[in-house]
Amino acid sequence: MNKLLISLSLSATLLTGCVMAPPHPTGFYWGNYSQSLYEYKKSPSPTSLETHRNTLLDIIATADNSKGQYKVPPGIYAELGKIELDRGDKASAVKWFQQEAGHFPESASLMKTLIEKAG
Amino acid sequence: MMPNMMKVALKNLALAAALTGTVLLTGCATTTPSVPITKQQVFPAVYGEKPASILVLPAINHSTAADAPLLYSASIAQPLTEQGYYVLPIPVTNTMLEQAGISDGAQLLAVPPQKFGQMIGADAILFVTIDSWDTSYYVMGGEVTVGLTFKLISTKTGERLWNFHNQVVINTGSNSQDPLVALIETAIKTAQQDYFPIAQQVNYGSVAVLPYGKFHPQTGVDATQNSSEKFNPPEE
Repeated sequence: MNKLLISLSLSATLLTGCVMAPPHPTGFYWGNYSQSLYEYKKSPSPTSLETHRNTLLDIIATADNSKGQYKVPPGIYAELGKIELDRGDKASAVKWFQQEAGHFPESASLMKTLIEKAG
Repeated sequence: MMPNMMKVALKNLALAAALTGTVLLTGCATTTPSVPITKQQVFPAVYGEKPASILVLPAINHSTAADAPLLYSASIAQPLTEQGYYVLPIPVTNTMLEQAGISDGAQLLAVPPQKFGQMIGADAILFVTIDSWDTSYYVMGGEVTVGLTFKLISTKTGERLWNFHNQVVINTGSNSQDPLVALIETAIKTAQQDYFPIAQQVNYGSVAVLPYGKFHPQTGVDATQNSSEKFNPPEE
């Protein structure tokens, strides 16, 4: 029975192993991003939102503490900004939108729109 | 030393798993003899225009799986970014589109692509049609068939930059040689089938066909790499 359980959990590991990216050439650190986004979108609740928010904050903290090994991927700051905006914290929202625009000039146009909307 | 060795071992395991994934992904393609052809020849518009930012539009769902668009939209940003592109934040842009009454990409087919450049600053927009998302089970196993058609359109010219159809059959049954173990494993996997890893796998496999974007160290360098005839844009 134990053997069966081990083989089951091993195959589960292998299944998820396919999509667990090793350190990537782009250097972006994603943490649990896609999974926690999916779970929040699938079952929106204060808990799943908080989990996703923590995933975003963890990505930034990990990248910031990695001495340049990892970078924050596109969209993470912007998503945090949107979460703060939805909560009514406009000042925090604007701060995150500015971070996104500062790190990624490609986002400038969209972030300008969002900052105006927040202001 | 130990943690490093562990790291290497894990890396190798991940690589092996990734390779297995690749085999599974490509294994089901029809075996047309492939003519050596470079990526530049197959995707000249991507190399010519070098789009940096991509707006991912909501999926056009032609499958019977109602949750397929969410499976797609939650798992496309990561592979697309790792391929080297700035992906405009999908949870943000999808909400903006929803507020405008748009939840299905088909509603946007008639909108001039240039509009998305002017309004959102995207260099290109990515349409996807989910052609199929079918699960089939049989006594000793099961499989999921996923068919996706991607279309990347320039917001400068309105022209198609990249087009790719991917059909993947993923085995969701057991690989065990022991019939009893196989039966139990298949039953458990069937009951707990999580489609999200499948969506991730399909998106990674599809986007890997796209030439590298600006964030990838090999951007531009891959132009002379061999491509495969099966990556040619399908006829419309």
